[in-house]
Amino acid sequence: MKRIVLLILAALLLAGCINNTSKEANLKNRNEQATIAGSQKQTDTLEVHFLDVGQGDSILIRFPNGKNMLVDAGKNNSDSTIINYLKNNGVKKLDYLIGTHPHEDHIGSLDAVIENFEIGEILMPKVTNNTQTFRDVLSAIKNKGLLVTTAKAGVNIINDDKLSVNILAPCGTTYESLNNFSAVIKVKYGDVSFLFMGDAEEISEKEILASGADVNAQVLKVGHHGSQSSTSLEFLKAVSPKYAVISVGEGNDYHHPHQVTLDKLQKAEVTILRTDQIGSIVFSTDGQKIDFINEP
Amino acid sequence: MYIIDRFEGDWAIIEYKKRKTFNLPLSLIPPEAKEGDVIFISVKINADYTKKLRAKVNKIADSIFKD
Repeated sequence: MKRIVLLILAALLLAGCINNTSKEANLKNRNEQATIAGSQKQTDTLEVHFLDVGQGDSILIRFPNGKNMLVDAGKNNSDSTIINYLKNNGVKKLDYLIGTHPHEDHIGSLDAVIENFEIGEILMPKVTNNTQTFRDVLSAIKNKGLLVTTAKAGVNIINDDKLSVNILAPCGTTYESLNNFSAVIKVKYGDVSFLFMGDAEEISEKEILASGADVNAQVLKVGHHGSQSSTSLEFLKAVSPKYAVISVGEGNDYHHPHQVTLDKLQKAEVTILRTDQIGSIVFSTDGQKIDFINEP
Repeated sequence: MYIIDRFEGDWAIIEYKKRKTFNLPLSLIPPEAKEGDVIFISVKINADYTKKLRAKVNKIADSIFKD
């Protein structure tokens, strides 16, 4: 009898080992080791994780100096998804937390993130919404005694030799749609750039181009879940990405991403990566070449 | 309390108690409505048309049931 129990245990352990050989598990283990060795361990890689939060946005950026940035926190019901993802990856502190604009599909679980992690700097555009979702974000920030830095064009977040993080939008202070208040973020590491559009629409894209900001990037987080409101041809040409990431929920009510956006990206020979098809999407770069950790 | 969180195409996304959200067709929303507006929603039953529709459906049903 004892022998049978032992055999079952051994089989279970073996199954566990086999599971751990997946690329994602390796990443998880590597990060846990890095955390054990010291939470701010220097590496030469920058990682960008597009979390699968359904019809919403949440992006984790892990800088080579061990610091972490979270851009948006999904929907109201994304709290456990995001918190578990961050914890499983060994994240203890979010050195930079950005709420691109106060819509529920971007700030839904921001309050839960603030309550569950040590927070450094919080950046948001200076605009409000009246929803309970947004009011709860304000309360969470206030309860933690934090102050918000206004996210707007021209704000520099990091400026090291090889790494820079800049906010390119909002360029203005009044828009009809909250989408155009979206903080647009450019992360540049060596020769590799990422551009995160939030839900910025064509109005904001035009303003960014007029500002003379360098939008060229290998990876574009497509604006507004691939809606036809965004990704104008002129802007897409200026960015000229190799990869376009669309953060979108399967079978969503809004038919995102719109076909017209997909057509533009396909015509420009951009590789389209969608969270509704792949799940969470992870990039890793040494500043020269870009790798998928979970290659589609 | 019902609050307009955002607009997506033909829908307005409404937030109500405990941060639940639902979609309302844009055609039901006053054109001047903006994101963040607190709105009243009232529903009235169309008794006349309910009666007419029920009679119409029952007539078809009666014609296809065996018993």
